[in-house]
Amino acid sequence: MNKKNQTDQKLHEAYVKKLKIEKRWIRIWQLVIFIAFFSLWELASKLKWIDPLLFSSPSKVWNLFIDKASDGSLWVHINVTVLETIAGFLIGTLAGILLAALLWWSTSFSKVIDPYLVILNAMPKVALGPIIIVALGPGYVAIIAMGAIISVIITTLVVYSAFQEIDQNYIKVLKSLGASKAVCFKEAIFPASFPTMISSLKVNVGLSWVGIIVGEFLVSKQGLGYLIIYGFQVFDFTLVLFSLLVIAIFAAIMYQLVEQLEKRLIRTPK
Amino acid sequence: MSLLTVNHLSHHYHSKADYTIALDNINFTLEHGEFVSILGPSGCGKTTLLSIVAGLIKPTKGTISLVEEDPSYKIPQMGYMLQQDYLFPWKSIKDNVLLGPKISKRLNEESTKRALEILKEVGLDNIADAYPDELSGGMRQRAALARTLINDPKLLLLDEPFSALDFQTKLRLEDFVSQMLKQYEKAALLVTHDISEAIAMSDRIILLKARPGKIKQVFTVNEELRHLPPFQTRQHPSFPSIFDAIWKEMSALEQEEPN
Ligand SMILES: Nc1ncnc2c1ncn2[C@@H]1O[C@H](COP(=O)(O)OP(=O)(O)O)[C@@H](O)[C@H]1O
Ligand SMILES: [Mg+2]
Repeated sequence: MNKKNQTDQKLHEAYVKKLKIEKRWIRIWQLVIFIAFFSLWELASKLKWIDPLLFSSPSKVWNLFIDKASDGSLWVHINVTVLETIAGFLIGTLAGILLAALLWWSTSFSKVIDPYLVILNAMPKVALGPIIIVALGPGYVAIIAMGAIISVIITTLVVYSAFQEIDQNYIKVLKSLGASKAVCFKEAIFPASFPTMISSLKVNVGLSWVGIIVGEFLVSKQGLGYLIIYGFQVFDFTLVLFSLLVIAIFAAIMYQLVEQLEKRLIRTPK
Repeated sequence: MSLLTVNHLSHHYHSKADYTIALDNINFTLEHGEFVSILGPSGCGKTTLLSIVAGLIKPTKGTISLVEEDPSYKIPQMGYMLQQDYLFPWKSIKDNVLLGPKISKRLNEESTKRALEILKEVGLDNIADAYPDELSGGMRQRAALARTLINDPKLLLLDEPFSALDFQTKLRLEDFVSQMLKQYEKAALLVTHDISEAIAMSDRIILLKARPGKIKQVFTVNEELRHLPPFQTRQHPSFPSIFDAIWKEMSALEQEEPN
C-alpha cells in the first residue's frame, strides 16, 4: 500500500514537473519574440531597410523617454490621460450597469426604449466627438464623456441580458421566502451577473482608451493622445511611437488590475 | 377548520396565438399535519397548482385560504422546495439557510444559532461554511430543506424534490423528509409523477388528469401504510394492490388522451 502510494506520488511529481517545464518554455518564447521584435526594429532602422524618419528606432524612443522623464513633461501627460481613462471607464461601466438595472426594473420602459438602444449601439460613438466638444467645452469633461459614452450602451445591453438570463426558479425560492422585487435583485440577479459584469469591465478598459485618445486628438491640449497628434503634425514619429508604447503599457496595467478584481470577487470552485 | 382550502381554482396561461387551461376547477382541503400528494403526468398543471398555493401566481379563478393564527405574522407560512435545490452558489450553506431570516429582517444571533441547530438536524452542521458546489445532490437537497424549515412554515410545498436524485439517494431522502415532517408536525403538499413515491409518502393522493388539469380521483392510503416510513411502505404486502389501483387509473387517463 505504502509502496503504491510512493509510485503514485512520483507520477504526480513528474506531472507537476512537466507543467513547470511547459510554462518555462512559454515564457522563453515570449521573451524571444519581444527581444527579436525590438532588435529587428533597431537593425532595420540602422540599416535603412525602413525609413528611420517614419519608423524611428527603439534607441531613439528610449532617448526621448530619458529626456521627457527628466524634464518632467512626460508625467503630466501620462497623469492626465490615465486619470481621464479611469474616470471614463468607471462612469461608462457604472452608468451602463445602472441603466441595465432600470431596464430590468421596468419591463415597459425596456420595451419602449429598446429600438433607441439598438440604434445607439450600432452608431460609431466617436463620430459624436465634435458635438460633445461643442456641448461640454474643449476640456477634460468632454474627453471623459467620450471615454464613458463609448462603453455605456454596450455595457447596458450585455448586463441587461445577463440579468434576464437568471434561472427564474431562484426568484421563486426568494419570493417563497417573502422577498420583494428589490431583494430579488440584490440577492439573486445582481450577484448572478458578476461574471458578465467583470467581462464587460475587461472590454470597457479597451473601449475607454479609444474614447479618451480620440477625445484628446480632437481637443488637442494635453495627454498622450495629444502627443500623438502633435508628433504627427510636426513629423516627429519618435514621439508618436513613444506615446503608443506608453499607452500599451498603461492599458495592460489597467487590464491586469481588472483581472485582480475578478480573482477577488468571484469565488473559484474547489 | 382545515389548514388549507383550495376552492374552485382554475388557471389559464395566455399567449398571443393561444391559451392553455392549466387547471380546471380544483377543489380540495388539507388538514393539519397531513401529507397529501398531487399525482399526475407531466404537464398536468402540478407546478402551476403549487405556485398558486404559494401565492407566487394569481389564479384566474377561485381562492386559496390558509388558516392564519396571527394576521400580523409577517413570515411566509409556506415553505417551497423545488425539483432542484436552487442553493445560491455564491453563498455558504449557512448563509443559504439564513436567507429566510435575512429577507424577513430577523438576522441576529438567535437566528444564526437556529440555523446551526437545523443544519445539525439535517446532518450538515460540520459543513456549514462549505459552498453548495462542494456537496453531493442529496446533501444539497437537505440543505434546501433546512432553508425552508428555518422559517418554521406550517405547510411545506414539495415540487418533485426527489426527481433529480439517483434512486438510492432518493429513497434515503424520502425517509429523511418524512421523519422530519413528523417530528416538526408539518403538513405537506407533494407534487409528483411517481406513483410509488406518492404512496410511500402520503396519507392521501389526488390524481390529476392533464389538459385541462382536473381532479380525476382521490385515493386514501390505508392506515397501516400511513404510519410506516416510506422505505418500509414500499415493501409492505399491501403496497402492490394500491399501486395497481392507481396504475390502472393513470393508464386509463392516457388512453383517454385524444392524440
Ligand atoms: N409560464 C407559462 N406560460 C404558458 N404556459 C405555461 C406556463 N407554465 C406552464 N404552462 C403550461 O401549463 C401546463 C401545466 O404546466 P405545469 O404546471 O408546469 O405542469 P407540471 O408541473 O404538471 O408538469 C403545461 O401545458 C404547460 O405547457
Ligand atoms: Mg412541474
